[in-house]
Amino acid sequence: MSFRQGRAQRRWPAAYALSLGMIAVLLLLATPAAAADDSGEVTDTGLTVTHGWLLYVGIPVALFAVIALLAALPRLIHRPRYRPGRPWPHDPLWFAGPEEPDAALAGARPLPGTGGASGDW
Amino acid sequence: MATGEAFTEGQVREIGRAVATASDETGLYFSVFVGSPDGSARDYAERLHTALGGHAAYGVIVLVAPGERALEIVTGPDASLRLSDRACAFAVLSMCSAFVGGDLVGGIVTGLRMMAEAAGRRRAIPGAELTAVDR
Repeated sequence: MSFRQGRAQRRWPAAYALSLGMIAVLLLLATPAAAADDSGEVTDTGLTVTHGWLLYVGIPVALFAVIALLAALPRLIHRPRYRPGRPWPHDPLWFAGPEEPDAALAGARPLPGTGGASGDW
Repeated sequence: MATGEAFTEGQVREIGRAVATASDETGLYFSVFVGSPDGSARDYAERLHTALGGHAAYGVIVLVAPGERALEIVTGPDASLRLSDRACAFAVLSMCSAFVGGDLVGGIVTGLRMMAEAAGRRRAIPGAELTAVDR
């Protein structure tokens, strides 16, 4: 549990910082466009409201959406991971087990002299 | 045995490969069971171990019960000469910390690798007691 939380707490400030940074860069880049040319004459007709919204709101939102999608993609593609505490409804899976597991298990009694270790989580 | 949907094809292959590699490297017989135990986890793991038949003596069974959050490792009499209970406990510790994070495959693969390293590379010769001593 602590792993998941630890990662989530670190990721969100980074995402916010990135999107805020993007908006700041866009604003800086857009400033020279409104400047006058050499003759001193202001040729710029100015931004229409639609263009302004597209430039300052549309692009950052689109960028944010793309980045968020890229970040979420691995989790969307992969199957749901195991979560501790959830039930495990799947069939048992035995790697390198006997040919006929049920038959082999039926009469199986513990051997003497075995070692090993136990744990839980 | 049916795969269910517990793991993807790739994950099943990854675990299978880790099991095969551990067995190849050490000469012990590693086997991993992922599922719910029938009764107590330790008893069930020991029955699984016996069910390995001819491989049981130098067999190592790893029982992972995600629903019960239990992990058991059983080493056969010959295998336990190469793979000490302490080494198994280290593997259990490492596996459990991966499982807590939700990483079943990673935990199993790491545990197998740790046990294979602890057991050493020498091939077990069934019946020969020297294999326990030199590494």
